[in-house]
Amino acid sequence: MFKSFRTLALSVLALSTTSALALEFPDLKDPVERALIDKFTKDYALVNASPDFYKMPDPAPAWPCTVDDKTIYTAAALIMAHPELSKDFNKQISTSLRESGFTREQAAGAKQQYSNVRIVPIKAQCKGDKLDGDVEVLAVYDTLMETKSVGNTTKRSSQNMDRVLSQYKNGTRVVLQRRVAKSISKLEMHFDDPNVQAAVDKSNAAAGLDKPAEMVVFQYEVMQDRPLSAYFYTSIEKTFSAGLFGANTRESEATNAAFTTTLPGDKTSMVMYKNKNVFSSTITNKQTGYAASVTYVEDSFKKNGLDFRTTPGFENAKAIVIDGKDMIEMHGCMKDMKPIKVATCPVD
Amino acid sequence: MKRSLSIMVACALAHNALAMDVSDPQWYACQSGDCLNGRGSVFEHYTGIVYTGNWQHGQTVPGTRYTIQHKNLPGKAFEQTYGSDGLLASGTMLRTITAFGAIGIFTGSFTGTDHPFVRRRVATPKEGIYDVGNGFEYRGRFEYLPAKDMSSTNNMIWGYFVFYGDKVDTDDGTKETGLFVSERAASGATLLFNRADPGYLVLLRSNQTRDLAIAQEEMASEESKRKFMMAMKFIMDVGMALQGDKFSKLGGLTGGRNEFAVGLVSDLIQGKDIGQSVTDLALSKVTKIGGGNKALTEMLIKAVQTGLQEGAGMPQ
Repeated sequence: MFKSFRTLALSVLALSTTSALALEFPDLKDPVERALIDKFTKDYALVNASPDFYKMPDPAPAWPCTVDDKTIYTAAALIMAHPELSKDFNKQISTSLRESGFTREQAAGAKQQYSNVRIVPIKAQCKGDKLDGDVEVLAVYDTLMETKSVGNTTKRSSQNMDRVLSQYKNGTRVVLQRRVAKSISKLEMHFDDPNVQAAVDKSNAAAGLDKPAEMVVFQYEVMQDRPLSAYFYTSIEKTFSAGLFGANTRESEATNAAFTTTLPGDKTSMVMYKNKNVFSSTITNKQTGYAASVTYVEDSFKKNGLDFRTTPGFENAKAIVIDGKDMIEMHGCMKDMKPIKVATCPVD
Repeated sequence: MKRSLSIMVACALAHNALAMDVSDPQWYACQSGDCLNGRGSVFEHYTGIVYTGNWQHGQTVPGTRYTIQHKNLPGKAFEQTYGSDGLLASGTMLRTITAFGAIGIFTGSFTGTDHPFVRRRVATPKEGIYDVGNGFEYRGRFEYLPAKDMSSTNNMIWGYFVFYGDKVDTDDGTKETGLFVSERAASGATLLFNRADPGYLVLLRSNQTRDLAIAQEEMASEESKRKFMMAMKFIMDVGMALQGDKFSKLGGLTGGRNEFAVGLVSDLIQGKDIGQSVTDLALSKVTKIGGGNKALTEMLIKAVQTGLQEGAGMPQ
């Protein structure tokens, strides 16, 4: 009896476990990239240990000189929340969504809506009535993204808190030194069919998607011998396995990192990592407008007895093995920011 | 189970790219008039399209006009004309299977393309305008490259649409001329085109050759499974026929039932039936078992034919 109780308790425990391991990073040779990893590691610990990091100062400090709206939103890296600054981007996004098959209404409605935006300076100074030196702002705002599709509507609402530290010279930003952006998001999915709604609710609850999800993104830019920017965030990775009482879910924390830099020949490179491994690598030729990407994804098709080669979107993919794991290497190509189908992307 | 499987298979093939047979209730429902030999309106379950026109033995009449409508395009009606092969020849094809709600509308001429993966001839756009339904239009020439189904049953019609001409954004009047290739599209699904370079067509063609080899193996495997299922059905029917006093009196075949069953299974397992139909194989075995006993042989042939008729309803 005792033995079976213990087995039961262990099995129940096994249904969902989270292992918070130390942050894992790729083994990089570039000293600037390694320095940014060190910076992120310190900031990550600092932010986690500082409950007041995003607290709105009371009273809110005033700007040291007259600063217009556009400058304030730019300082907070929130140009998409400013109607004038975002105008061209929104048109591009809408066209791009229509090119992906969205209807006019969906493309227009898929625009992220910003509300309750408050941006205050934490640290700022002016020289000759223009921002100069280190400027740090705190932005607090809400966002809502509503996507309507056939028979369903998806709403993602978020509360956001960003702290952005930049270096200014004569009113112009020279470098974005650090941006820490925290969001707490809630996903709501509404289906016309009550049976589908019930099934989706159940599946979302099992995957934990019915609870608010928190994410913190760290962004850095450095200007040394070449410009380099980096993004970091941690995510919860779920792996499923068969258990005594159904599927067991194992959760583990993954570190996601991305480095963007310039290369000789007017090119830029962006490499994304998940923990130690490269997840995706993109090289863009700024002169020709071509961008070639390679992405590595786990071969879940093979696990299910399927062949990825006959799946739409995998025409230019090949099977590889990384660390003993079956993976798919996918090749993509863009021309002037639009996907283009090619056998080999002419990025060189 | 058998019915649901055959409906699933039928759904995968259903689409007005194929010659229509509106007398098939799995696919079509006559809404009004005479949909067999007269004028009537037919609803296609899979696409939601209503076809109005003249029908002959449930099939389209070459050269006559049909009107098509869809509930998601209220107040709109489009015309179609079919050829003597039963395939769409000109007019409008609606692509109604969509994730986003916009129905794709192709208007122009069509051509017949042999689809090696489903072993059927399909109507595909040749020249005209494909209206995405969200402001984008593709005006020019179309080609079709058949592709393999994701499943090993190879029942679903998949392919790439190759376009050369003008991509026009009617919202802002911009135009882009060149070669575009769709994502791999299922029968009746909306098309998403991307700019392409000719080298990509070479890649798709090479993938097609590879997939044909895979499909041939799968088709052989599926055919083998189907034959095996039919063989099992014969075994049951012949086994039943061999039971009872009258047969034992006729043939006196102790163990004949087992010999037939095991022999047929053995031949199928060892692949001896390659190049020979299950019917021929079964009939030759039955004749052998009959051993010159005409009455027994006739009885067994009848059992095989019953099995064949029922087997014909099996998924193919």
